[in-house]
Amino acid sequence: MMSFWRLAFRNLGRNRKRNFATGSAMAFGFAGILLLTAYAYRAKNYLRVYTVYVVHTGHLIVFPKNGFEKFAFEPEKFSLSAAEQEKILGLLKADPAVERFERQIHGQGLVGNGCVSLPFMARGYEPEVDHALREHPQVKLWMPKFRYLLQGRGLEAYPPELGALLLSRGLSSALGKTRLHDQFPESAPVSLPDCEHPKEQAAKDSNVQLLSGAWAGNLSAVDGEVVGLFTTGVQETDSSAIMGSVELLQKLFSTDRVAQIAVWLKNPDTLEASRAKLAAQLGEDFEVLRWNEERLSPYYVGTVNFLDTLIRAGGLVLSTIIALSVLNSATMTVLERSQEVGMYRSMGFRRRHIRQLYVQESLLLSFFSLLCGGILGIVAIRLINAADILYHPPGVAGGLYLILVLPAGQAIGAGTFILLLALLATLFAVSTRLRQTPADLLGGTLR
Amino acid sequence: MNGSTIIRLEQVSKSYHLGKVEVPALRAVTLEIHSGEFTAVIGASGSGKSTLLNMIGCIDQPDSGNVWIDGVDVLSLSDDKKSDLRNQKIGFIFQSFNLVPVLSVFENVELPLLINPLISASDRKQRVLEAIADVGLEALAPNLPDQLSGGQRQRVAIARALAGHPLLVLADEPTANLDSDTSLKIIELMLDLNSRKKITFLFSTHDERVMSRVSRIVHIKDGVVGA
Amino acid sequence: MRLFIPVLFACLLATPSFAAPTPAELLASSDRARGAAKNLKGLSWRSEVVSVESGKEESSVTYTVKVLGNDALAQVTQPARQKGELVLFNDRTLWYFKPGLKKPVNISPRQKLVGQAANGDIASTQYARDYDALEAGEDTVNGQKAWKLELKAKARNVTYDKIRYWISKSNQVALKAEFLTLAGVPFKVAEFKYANSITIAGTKFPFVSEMKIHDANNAENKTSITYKNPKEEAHAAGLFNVNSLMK
Repeated sequence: MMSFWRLAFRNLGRNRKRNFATGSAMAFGFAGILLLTAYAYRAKNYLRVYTVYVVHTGHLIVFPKNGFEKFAFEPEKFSLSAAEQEKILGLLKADPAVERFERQIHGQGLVGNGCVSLPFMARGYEPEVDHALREHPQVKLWMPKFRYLLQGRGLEAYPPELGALLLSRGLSSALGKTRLHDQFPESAPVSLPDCEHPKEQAAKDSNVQLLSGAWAGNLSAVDGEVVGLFTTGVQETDSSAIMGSVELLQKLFSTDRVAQIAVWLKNPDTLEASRAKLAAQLGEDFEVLRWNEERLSPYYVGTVNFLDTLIRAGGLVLSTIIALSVLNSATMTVLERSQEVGMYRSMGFRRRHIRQLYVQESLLLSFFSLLCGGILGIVAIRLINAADILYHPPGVAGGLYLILVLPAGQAIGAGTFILLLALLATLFAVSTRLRQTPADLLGGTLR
Repeated sequence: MNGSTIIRLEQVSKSYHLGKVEVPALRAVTLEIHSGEFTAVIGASGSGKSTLLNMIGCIDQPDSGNVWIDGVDVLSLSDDKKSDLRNQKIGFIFQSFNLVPVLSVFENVELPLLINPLISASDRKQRVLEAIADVGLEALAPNLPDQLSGGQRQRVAIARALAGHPLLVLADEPTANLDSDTSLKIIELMLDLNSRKKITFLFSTHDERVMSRVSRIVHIKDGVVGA
Repeated sequence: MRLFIPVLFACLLATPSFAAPTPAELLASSDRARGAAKNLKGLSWRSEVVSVESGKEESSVTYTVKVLGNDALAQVTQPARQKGELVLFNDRTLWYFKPGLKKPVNISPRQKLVGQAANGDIASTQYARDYDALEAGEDTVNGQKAWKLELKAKARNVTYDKIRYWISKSNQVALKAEFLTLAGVPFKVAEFKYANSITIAGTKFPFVSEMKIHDANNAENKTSITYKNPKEEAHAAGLFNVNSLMK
C-alpha cells in the first residue's frame, strides 16, 4: 500500500543534486538566522540586566513632576523632600509586587587628591541595595563574567561615617588613588599635601575631597575614602564617575532631599500595570517612568532598535535567498515533470492532488533541511560560546565576551516561517503548470 | 453496433495557434462510440487524431460543439468534476508509457485508485492484482519500471488503465515506441481484453497493418472524420 | 655733547605740566580702598553678600573678614547652617574649610563662592600684585570722570584673566570693573560705592561700602556685597596659618 507521503519521499531521490543544493541553502540559511537570533537575544538581555540592575535604573523610577528633565538645573526645586520620600516609600513597602527600592541622588563637582582636582559625576546609592543588585540572580545569569567591582569591597562593607567612595577606573588612575582604604593601616596622620611631589603624595593615603556647590548655592566639601574601584562599562564615563552613599552626597549638597526613587519589581512582566498603579496612587505631583523609555535609557533603546533592525535585515536577506532557492528548484522540478503532471491529471488527479504531491515533497525536504540547519546552528553556538571570544562593541569599555543564547520559541518560530515560505514558493511554482490543460502538459504525444 | 452509446461528439471543432497562424485540427466532427467496441482511429500525422482523443478523454476543451460521456454533457462540468469523471470512467494509455519511475509495478497500477473515494483499501488491492494478472505481469509486480522492457512497461500502463474498471480505454499510438513483434503482442492483449472482458477500446494509430484486426475503423484526414 | 641740547629739549617737552598718576599708582590706591591693608597692623570688616537670581532672592551670607598683609580670612557668621565655614587666603593660594572636614580643600579664586561673587572677590583685592595695567584713555562713569585701565593677569591662578577698570579721577578709587574672558568679552560687571572710610597713619581714606556685581548677559542675576564697619585691628600671624585648620 502507498500514500502520498511515501511517493513524496521517493520523488526526493529523483533530483539528488538539486535537492541537496536547495536543502543546503535552507540549512545554512536557517543556521545563519539562528545565530543572528541568538546573538540579539543575549545582547538584549545583557543590556536589559545591565540597565535595570547594574546601573541602578530599576524597572520604574519615581520623580517629582518634571524632575527627570529639570533636576540638573534646579536640584533644590525638582527633588523629593523628606516627607515626600516617606510617603513614596510607604506605598512601595506595602506593594507586594515590589522587590526592592532605592533613594538616589546625583550631582557633579571637583574631586581632589590635595594637589590635583578633576571634575566628577557622582551617583549616590544605598549601599545595601547596591550589594543586593550585584548579587541579583538575573545579573548572575546574563552577566556571569562581568566584574562590577574591579578592586576592593562594596560600599556596604564600611560604616557610614567613613565616607566610603568607589572611583571609576580612569578617575582613580588620573588622581593617583590606586591603593584602597583597606590597604592602609588604620591611623594615618592627617597633614597638608606636599604638591612638589604629587604622585608620591597621592599614593600616601586613600582619601580624596569632593568639592561642589550646595543646592542652596554656596560652596561645600566633604572628605571621602576610596574603598574600591569600578568600571562603568562605558568608555565616556569611566574617567569621571564616582559612586557613594546617598548620605554622603546629601552631606555634600547640604540637603535631606533626593533626586528620585528607583523601584525593582519581582515580576517585570507587570511593568505597565505597576507603573499605572503607582502613578495613580501618587497623583499629579509625581512622575513614574518606565526603565525602557527612550529618554531614560537612550543607550539601551538605541542599541535594541539597532539589533532588531540587524536581525530583521539579516533574516529578510536569508529568507529571501531560501525562498528564491526553493522557487528555482521547484520550478525546474515541475518543468521537468510536466508530462508526468499531465499523466496524473489525465488519470483523474484533481488540481489539489497535484498541489498536495508537490507540497508534501517540499515539506519533507524543508523539514529535514531545517532540522539539519537547526543542529548546525546549535553546534555553532556551542563552539562560539566555548571559544571565549572577546570583542569590543561601541561604547563598552573593556570589551564583552561573545556569547550566544538561542530562545527556543523564536527558533521554532523562525523555522516555521521558513517552512511556510518554502511551501508558498513550491505552490507558486506548481500553480503556473496547473493552469494548463492536461493535453498541453502531456505535450507532443497527444497532438 | 455492440452496445449503448457511451461517447457522443457533435459538431466538435478545435483550432490551435501556431504563432499568428490558426491551424484547424478538428472540423465539425460528429461521432458515436458504443460499449464493447474495439475502434482504431487511423490517419496520418497532423490529421487531428490526437486532438480527437483529447476531446473524447476531456483533457482538452473544444472551441465549439458538444461532448457527452455516459450521457453527461462534459462542457458543463467543473474542472474537478471532469477529473473525477476521467478517474472513474476513462483509462489512458500513452505512447511514452508515462509510468512513475519511483513506484513499483503494483504501485503504478494502484495510482488512479488512490484518489477514488468509492473504492475501499481492500477492494483496491484486489483490483490491482486482478489488473496485473490480466496483463500477465504477476511475477514482476514489485519491480521498478526501469527494470522492465518497453512491452512490459506498456502492459503496466494497460493494467493501470484497467484497474479503475473504466467505461472506455483511450490509447494514443500505444505501439509507436515498440518494435513490430511487441506491437503485435500489445494489440493482441487489447483484443483479448476486449473480447473476454468486454472492455471498450479506442486507440489511434497510423499503422495500416492493424486495420484487419479491429472491429471498427474511423478514418480522419485534415480534421474531418470519414466512415 | 652734541646730543645734550636735543635730549634736554625732548625731556622738557615730554614732561607734562601736571604729574598724572601711573597705572600702578592708580591700582595701589584703588586696592587700598578695597581692603588691601598696607601699612596697617591688620584690617577687619563685615561683608553681607546677597544674591538674586532671575529676580528671586537666592541666598544671603555674612562673612567676618580679617586681613593682614597678603593674607586674609573670611569666616561665615550667617546663616546658622553655614557657621564655621571659611575661606583662607595665603597670597594667591586659597583654602576652603568647613567643620567636619579632616583638612582644608585647596580651591581656585575663580570658582563661584555665592551668586555672582567668586572666591577671589570676597576678601581684599590685590590687583596691583596680580595684574599688569595699561592706560586705555579716559571715560565717564555715572557722571564722574575716570581713568580707564586694561588689566591683564600676571599669573594663572588669579581671579580673572582680564579686567577693564575705571578709576575715578577725583579720588582714585575704582568706580566700575568689567571682568573679561581671555578673548576680551565681558561676562561680569561690578560697580562700587565708597561711603566708608579708614584711617591710615593719621590720614583718612575712602573705603568701599558696596560692590554690586551682575551677569553681563543677564542683569537679573546679581549679587551685592555690603561692607560694614571697616577698622584697623591687630591680627596674630597664626590666624592665617593653614595648619591651624588641621585636626
